[in-house]
Amino acid sequence: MTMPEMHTLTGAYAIDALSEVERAQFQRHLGECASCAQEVLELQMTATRLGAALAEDPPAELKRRVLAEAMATRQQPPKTRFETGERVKNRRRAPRWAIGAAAAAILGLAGSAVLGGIAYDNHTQLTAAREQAARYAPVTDVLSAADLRTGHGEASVGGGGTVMMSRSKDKLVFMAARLPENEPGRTYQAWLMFPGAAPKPAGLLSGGQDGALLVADGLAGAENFALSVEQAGGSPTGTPSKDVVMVLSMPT
Amino acid sequence: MDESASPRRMAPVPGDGEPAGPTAEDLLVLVAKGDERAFDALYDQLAGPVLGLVRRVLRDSAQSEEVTQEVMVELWRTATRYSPERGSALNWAMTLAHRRAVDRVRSARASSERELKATFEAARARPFDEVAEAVAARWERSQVRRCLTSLTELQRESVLLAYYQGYTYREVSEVLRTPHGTIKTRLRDGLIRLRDCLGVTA
Repeated sequence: MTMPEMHTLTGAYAIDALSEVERAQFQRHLGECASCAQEVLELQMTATRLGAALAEDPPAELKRRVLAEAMATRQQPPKTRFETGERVKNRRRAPRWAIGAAAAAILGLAGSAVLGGIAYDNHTQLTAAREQAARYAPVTDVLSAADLRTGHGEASVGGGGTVMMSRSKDKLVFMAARLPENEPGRTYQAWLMFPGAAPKPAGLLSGGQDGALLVADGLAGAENFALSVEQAGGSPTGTPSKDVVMVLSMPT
Repeated sequence: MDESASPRRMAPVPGDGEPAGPTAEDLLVLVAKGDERAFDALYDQLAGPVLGLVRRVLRDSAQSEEVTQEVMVELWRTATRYSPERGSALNWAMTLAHRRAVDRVRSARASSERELKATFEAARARPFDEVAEAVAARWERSQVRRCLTSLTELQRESVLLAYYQGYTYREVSEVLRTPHGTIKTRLRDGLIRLRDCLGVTA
């Protein structure tokens, strides 16, 4: 579908009048089209007025059930956002403690993998530790950058991962977390998405392996980092299939 | 900021003297910290509109209450994920509610394709009359009603069939015997005209 055609779908999307396939396609388009996202939000807010006009008094019994179920339901932890490793300017949206906690978790993870490994003096373990250190070298490289940015994304298929990136080092590291195993003959493929230009493949990743790493460069101008499901060996067309499972926006 | 972005201004009928308590957005911030009392108050603000919308789409009372319960518990569960980018708290809740109601209606409908045609025929003349009927003395409703009359008939029918009946634009085009492409654009044009009439800005 062409871009102008896509744009006419804002209305249908805003009120859930698209088929599942079209909805997924349009969502992908939304990640690249800020004006569409703005229009969608406005049209959803408009629809909300249509819906709110139907407000009725809910039965008291319903409230009791909702409160009881809520009290027995664990709340989701906050999603962390891309942030600089430097002091964060006052932002009205992201809860700051959440960012700190995420950064600490990443540092702790990489730190224990590298330093914890080397503490062993057994030769075999030392070798293993060296291999692990080599594996994590890009992580420590990016983590030491003054312009480190990190972000966590959740995949629609479950699991997700953490992006760590430095524009000065032109390097991005993605660490998978609980991404489900792929079906036979399929793989996850990472992409850098550019406004008004074709997405650039950024490496392959198998699901089911926690801490699987992927390193990419050539970040200049990239707006989003995305994961799609492709046939083994990566997308034959060089562009993502419709099966995009995660999109994270990069900081500007 | 428009009315729907600020429940404090939208919820009460002008001049009804209802005290302005915390907004739904304020409450969500507290709910995100696990505040059960705030959730109780949030429920009071959002459950009415959510139930009204869900019931319009699903019709069945028991199912409507089930979906409303799902939506409210989901707000509790994911309160930490709310951000003003999603619009007002009411908008967040209603978008989720509509999606859930539509999901349910479509999975039920998939099993009874045969009845589809009949449902379509029956639905054809109804939606606007029902809204007109539902319009009571409330200012919000009369606003919406007034603005609905500013749409062309095809725009209004398209928007109401899709939103209140949970139809896809293809289904709407079937009911209205109008090409798909026309319905797509009428949905957008109609919503844009409504947006401008209601003064909605994000």
